[in-house]
Amino acid sequence: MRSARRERGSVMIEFAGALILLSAMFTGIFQIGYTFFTYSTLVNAVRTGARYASLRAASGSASDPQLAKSVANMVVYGEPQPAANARPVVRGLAGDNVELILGPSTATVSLRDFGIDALFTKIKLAGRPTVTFPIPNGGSK
Amino acid sequence: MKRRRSRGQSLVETTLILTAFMGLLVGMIGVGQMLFVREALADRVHDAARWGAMNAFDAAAIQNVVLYGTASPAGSATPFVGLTAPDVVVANPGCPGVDCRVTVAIPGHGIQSTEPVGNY
Repeated sequence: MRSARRERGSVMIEFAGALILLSAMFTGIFQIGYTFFTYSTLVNAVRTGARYASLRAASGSASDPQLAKSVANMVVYGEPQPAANARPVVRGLAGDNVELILGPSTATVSLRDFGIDALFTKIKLAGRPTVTFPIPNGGSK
Repeated sequence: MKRRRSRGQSLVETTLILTAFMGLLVGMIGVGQMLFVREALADRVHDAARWGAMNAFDAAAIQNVVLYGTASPAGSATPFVGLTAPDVVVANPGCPGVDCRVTVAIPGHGIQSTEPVGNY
């Protein structure tokens, strides 16, 4: 009885120590997992946009002023003309983050000024992901 | 005397922990199953949109690609995870034109895919 009573406080301290360590570990695991998952979603979205841009450029839309907007929508919503209530593939992603560079025979799409918001930290992506697609038949026809 | 007083305790503890553990396990299996079906459906939808962009537009055939994995299924084929044709929404906005594309969606699952039809 005496010894159980004397050990009662030390159990609480041990538990508190373990809880801090465990919650820090779980948070870290979550952040890493979420960041990789989100990054792969972004790579896929940018790839989809770059492919769309290259096909549009190949069919003579390279000088279309609306092309950049359509490409940005393709990246952000997965659809060049999304419904009014469409949600971005990644929370916080907007058309302003999408950059389209059309070369004579390539279409490059990249994200700028975007970071992955992983709950407690924000991971900045310096110009990544960037995807370049060749324009079929080397450009407008 | 002491042994006798704590004999039932382990049974109670085991029951308590087993309940929590089983709940956790069943929940994990449920979430895993849900994610698996979602990914499989998203893959089908993507395949169907791609197929639609590569062939002359045929909404019923595109629906078949989602439901059966092939455009012309056998009569005995069973659809994927209990889906029916009305669950799959197919359209080709912007066609004919430079922004011609095939869209395939399963609104009930929040899955959507757009495939541009390259007409260069």
